[in-house]
Amino acid sequence: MISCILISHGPLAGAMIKSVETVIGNKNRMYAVELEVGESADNFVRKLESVLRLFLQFGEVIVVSDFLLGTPFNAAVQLSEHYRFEHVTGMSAPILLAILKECDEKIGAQELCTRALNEAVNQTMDVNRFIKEMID
Amino acid sequence: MIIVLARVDERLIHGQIINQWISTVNASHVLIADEELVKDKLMSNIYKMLVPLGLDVQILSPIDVALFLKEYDQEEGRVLLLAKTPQPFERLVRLKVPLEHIMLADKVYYPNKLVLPAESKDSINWLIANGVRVEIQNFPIDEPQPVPPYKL
Repeated sequence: MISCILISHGPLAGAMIKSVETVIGNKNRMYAVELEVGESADNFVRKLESVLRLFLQFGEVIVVSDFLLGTPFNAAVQLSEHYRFEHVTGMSAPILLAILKECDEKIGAQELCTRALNEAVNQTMDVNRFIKEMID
Repeated sequence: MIIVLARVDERLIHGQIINQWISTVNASHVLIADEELVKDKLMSNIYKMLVPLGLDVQILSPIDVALFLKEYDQEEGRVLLLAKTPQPFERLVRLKVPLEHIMLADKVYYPNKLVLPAESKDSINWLIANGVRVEIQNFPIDEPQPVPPYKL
């Protein structure tokens, strides 16, 4: 089973799970680890590590961080020296929906991330411009 | 090169630095004075590759930071200097790096907090005694809070 650990500054990760679950239902595959205001980077690394160890017992893990070079992102990079897991950043509903849509398929976590990112990129756009180009 | 910001920040490069401080001070160079990070090749490379385009990132020991600044003294550049604790800044001032102001990122540096290690208090006191202005400021919109010397 592939699990997802969402990591963010503040409540984005937990809220993202709730939001995504309104679309696809509860899949029990996502877990949020949030950096609290004033929390140290070291403490966040320890928190993430304990969750990561737990989920790695059940199979592959994809960590989804909120953005490049933030404290959660940095923590995941640090842990990637010691544990094997996928890490994608730029957390968004399209990325998570794409991951969850295909996570039952018989593909590995790495391939799943590649597909999800491709799909998410196509869903990030300037809508008015897209409509205008469509009409023209 | 001029040092536009010298900041003590336990997290070094992180969201606030990337999204706010670099643009607020219009930095062209980020220098990190951290012995441990020099040895951590993975994290060093991540910082060097992913910090917003056009920025030069150097991860060096305090001595090498002083040498770097000396070597490129006459070149154009606006330096954002980062370290996890105040100690590297004491080293830099002792090495004659012209630092007039140091910003502490974290409220743990308020004088009434007891959690601060004695070495950090010593360094801050030394810096203040040597004419460096030491202030606490988390976000750019926050008002800087001056730090008086610690009672040891």
